[in-house]
Order: sequence, then structure tokens, then C-alpha cells
Amino acid sequence: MHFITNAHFILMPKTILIPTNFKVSSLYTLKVALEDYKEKEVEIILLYADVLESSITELLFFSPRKRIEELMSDEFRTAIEIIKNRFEPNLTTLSIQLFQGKNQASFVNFLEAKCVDEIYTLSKPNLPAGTPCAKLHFFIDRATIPVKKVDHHNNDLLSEGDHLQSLFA
Amino acid sequence: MFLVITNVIILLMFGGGIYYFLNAYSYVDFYKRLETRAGIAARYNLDQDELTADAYKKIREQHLEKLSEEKEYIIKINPQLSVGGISEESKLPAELLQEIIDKGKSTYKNGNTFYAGQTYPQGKANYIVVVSAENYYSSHHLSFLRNILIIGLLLTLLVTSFTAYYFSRYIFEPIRQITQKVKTISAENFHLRLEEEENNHEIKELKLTFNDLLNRLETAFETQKNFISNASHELGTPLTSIIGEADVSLIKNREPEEYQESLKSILKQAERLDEIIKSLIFLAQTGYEGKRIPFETIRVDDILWAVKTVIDKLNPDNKIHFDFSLLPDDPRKLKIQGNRQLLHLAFANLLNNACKYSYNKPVTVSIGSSNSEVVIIIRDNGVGIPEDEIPFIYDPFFRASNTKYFEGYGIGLPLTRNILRLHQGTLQVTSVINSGTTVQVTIPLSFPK
Repeated sequence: MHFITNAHFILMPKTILIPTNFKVSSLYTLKVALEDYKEKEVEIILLYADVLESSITELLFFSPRKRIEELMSDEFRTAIEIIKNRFEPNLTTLSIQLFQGKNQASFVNFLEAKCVDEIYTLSKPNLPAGTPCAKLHFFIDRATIPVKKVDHHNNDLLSEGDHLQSLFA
Repeated sequence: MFLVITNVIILLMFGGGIYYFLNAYSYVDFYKRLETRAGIAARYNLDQDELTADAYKKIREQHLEKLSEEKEYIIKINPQLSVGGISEESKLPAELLQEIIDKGKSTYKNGNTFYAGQTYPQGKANYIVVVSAENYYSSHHLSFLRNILIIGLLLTLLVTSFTAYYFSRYIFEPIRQITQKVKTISAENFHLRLEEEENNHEIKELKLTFNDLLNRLETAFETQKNFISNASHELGTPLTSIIGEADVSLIKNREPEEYQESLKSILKQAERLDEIIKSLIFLAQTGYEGKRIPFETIRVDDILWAVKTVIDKLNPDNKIHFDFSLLPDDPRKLKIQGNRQLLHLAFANLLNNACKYSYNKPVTVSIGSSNSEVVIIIRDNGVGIPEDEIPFIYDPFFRASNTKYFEGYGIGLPLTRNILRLHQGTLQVTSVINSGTTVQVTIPLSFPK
């Protein structure tokens, strides 16, 4: 029985959650995560903390796919393609999701529903306080699953613009 | 003008149609009213039952308004009297009477007076009941409508002419401006561009296309203009190397093997010179005569390695490092369509600049590939470019204010950009003074996904 559980564990792709703000620099974490699990199959969830509008019309016509399309810049799209092309064999799926929860419990639920095994995040995300993204980092800090903090050397230098080069730092 | 004529025709058809159909309908409607009145008149005039006759009369007076010039005629048909006789007696048109007698009922129009009549049998006798009246509706309402339609037509004509004139001015004004502006652009002031508009999409696109065309023309023009300077700059490096090699060999007598070695090295540099000259001729040709440069499928990393090998020989102190952390798994995603010599020249320029302006501090060359293009990033830790001077770095002979102590003519970067443009690629330079410069090059893939 123990053996079967172990085998099951090995075959299952590892699910990693990475918070993103749709800036290329936030994808540096993704690169580090994929380098760490070069030999394993990995499922990636890029998570963006968003505010759900309270207006009835907004809610009626709300489409997560459209919202994500709206937020993605050309550089971000290119950066994702570059990473996908690099880690093609072990990156099974890469999905971008919106998180609209408001408390720790909703975040825990999300992690459970998506079977997230680990979280990778920037050690100094440099986010303005009070924003949904900053809130998400607060939830991540209190998460019970393993959280790996990644240092980005050129973070300060590059935070002004959103260039592809921040991916190669 | 065409618009105005079309508008008038449509309005005439529309207004005329309304008038015609309403006119026709008003006749039909009026005849029906007269027929009803004739029926009622027969009832209350000829009905034997007086009670019913009174009731009809009452209803008639209370509910049916008197028409203009309304007259009732009740004529007993006398077989002895001819239609002409009846007509004379009653002053009713003979045709109407004849038709009533023949068909039982009929309508007639004489000028603006309308007639409707029917036969009405009462006991043994037979009567003709005719009601005539003037069609007030037709004569007044319809003429009113006709006036409105004519005035409306004239007003619309006026408004359409005015708006057509205004719009044609509005639409053609930007085009007139473009023509004027383009007339002022000549070989002396090729840098002039059309101002891009925000709100008019079509004109904006036209201007963008025109500016794009001017950009290409300017590039070609400048490449040609600066050909000699470009050539001398690019030829200088291998020539220095040849002269150096020859100088060193001639210092003292050497073994034949050493001479061979020197000659080999000189030959290699001479071959490189030959390559560069050919490339420059290619560039000039594309700029002016529009000849196609021969393109082949090349791997970007091959070119970069080749460039590094050459730089290693010319500048052994360089610290160029390759970062393959995002190199695509599939080698097809590194293949581009390009001219080997030109791209070699372009990357050699960029890498030489990176080493030169950073006093041979480490330079990182990273390669990645999206589904449509290869991205090459060259990052140095050199002197950087002052922020306010970045817009001018592509101007030929421009040199940043902090590069006085470095050799160069300010030709390398414009030339590199020209070469990348020929490959549909882009060149993006970002820099922080005293911290370093990053150059991002993208070139479209041969086999995009």
C-alpha cells in the first residue's frame, strides 16, 4: 500500500503556484521554479489577484478569459512563450487564473481545489500596500504549504519598465 | 455634388410617393364617406317607417359632421324621363346618373366636387340617392402637405449641400495638408515627418504608412550617404590587425613557420575585410537599387559564437558570457532567415560596443525564443548612455557625451539598426548611466509556429 502511494506521488505532476502582476519581471520566478524542477513534470498556475466589480452589469458580462487578455501585454505574452519554448518537455500545463478571494480561507480553498504543492514568489515583490496583489502576498506568507522566495537581483533597476530583459536577469 | 443630387432624387421619390398615395387614398376614403351618407340619406328620406327615419336623421345630425358644400339629391326614377332630362332637372352629371341606373351605385368627380350615389327601391318606386360634397381634406390638407414636402425638400437640399461641402472640406483638409507637407520634404530635410493625428483613423494610418515609407527611404539614403564613413569604420579593425601582424613579423628575422603563421592570420583578416566590403556593398545596394540581399536559413547561436570567436582574437581580454538559461529546446526556434555576413557585422558591432564601453567588464549574451521571434539580449556593466541622449544614438556620427575617451565614429549602431531592419528585426536600447546598457534584438523566426 505504501509502495502504491509513493508511485502515485512520483507520477503526479507537481503543481506550482506563482503570483504574477502581468509584468515580465514577475515571470523570473517562473523561470527559477522550472529550473528547480527540470527533471519533473510540472503544472504551473500563474495567479493574479483581482477585484471583483460589485456592479451588476460588470458581473453579468464578466469573463475571466477576457479580463486576462486585457491585462496581458505583448512583452508578457512573448516572455511566456520564451519560457514555454525553453521548458517544453517538463512543463505540462501553464494556466493563468484570477483570484478574487478576500480572505485567507478563500485562498486556502483555492490552493486545495487546485491541488497546489508549492508556491514560488519574489522575496521583495515591491508592491504598493493595499492593492489586491499585496494582499495575495500576505495570504501567501501565511500559507501552510511550502513557499519558496526568489531573489531578483535587478529588481530595482527594472521595476520602472516592463522589458523582456528582466526575464534574463 | 453627387451626394446632393442623390439626396434630391431620393427625397423627390419619397415625397412624391407620399403625396401620390395619400392623394389616391383620400379619394377612396372620401367616396366611402359619401356612399355611407347617401345610404343614410335614403333611409331617413324614403323610409316609410317614420320612427326609424327619425332615428336615422337624429344619428345623422348628431354624429356625422356636415361636409363642405354637402348636398343631397333624391330623385324618383321615372321611366318616361330620359337620363338627360333627370340630369337637367337635378343638375347632376348625366354620366353619373346613367352609371347608377346601370350598376346600382357609382361615384363621380367634377373638379373639386365629389359625387356618390346609389339606387334605393322604396315600395314599387325606385329612387336615386346622390350625395355630393367638396373634398375639403383633399383640397386643403393635401395642398398643405404638398407645401410642407416642397419646403422640406428645399431645406434638406440646403442642409445637405452645406454638410456635403463642410464634410468634403473636413475630409480633404488633412489630405491637402499631407500634400503640402510632403512637398516640403526633400533630400535636404529628410528627417521631417507628418504629424500623427489621434482621432481620424484612416488619415492616421495613411500618415503612419507614409512616415514608415519615409523612414525606410531615410535609412537607405543615409546608408548611402555615410557609406564611405561606414566602410572606413568597419574596415579599420581588420586592417589594424593586418598591419599589426605584419609589423610584428618584420621586427626581426623569423623562422619560415612563423611567417606562415603570420601570413595565415593576415589572410584570415583580409578575407574578413573582403566579407565586410561585400556586406557593405549589399547594404548600399538594398538602399538604392532595391536589389535583393541573398537570405539563407541561419541559426542565431551559430552567428553569435562566430562573432565571439572573432572578438576573442581581436580583443582577448573580453569577458563575453553566454546565458543559455532560456535557450529553446527545439533548435528550429533558433533559425532565422538572414544574411550571414550582415548579421555577423551587426552582432560584432553590438558585442564590440558592449566590451569597449565597459572596459572589458563581463558582458552577458542571452538567447530566448518566442513562437514568432528570436530574442537576443546583450547586457553590459559599462558607462551607459545619458538618458536624454538615448533618442539620438541611431543618428550617424552621434556619440554620447561620456564616450570621449573611447575610439569610434558613431557609425556602428546606425549600421546595426539598418541591418536589423533589413531582417524585419528590432533593436531596443535601454541604459542607466554608469550602471550599464542593455540591448534587445528581435529577429523573426524562419518557421513561426
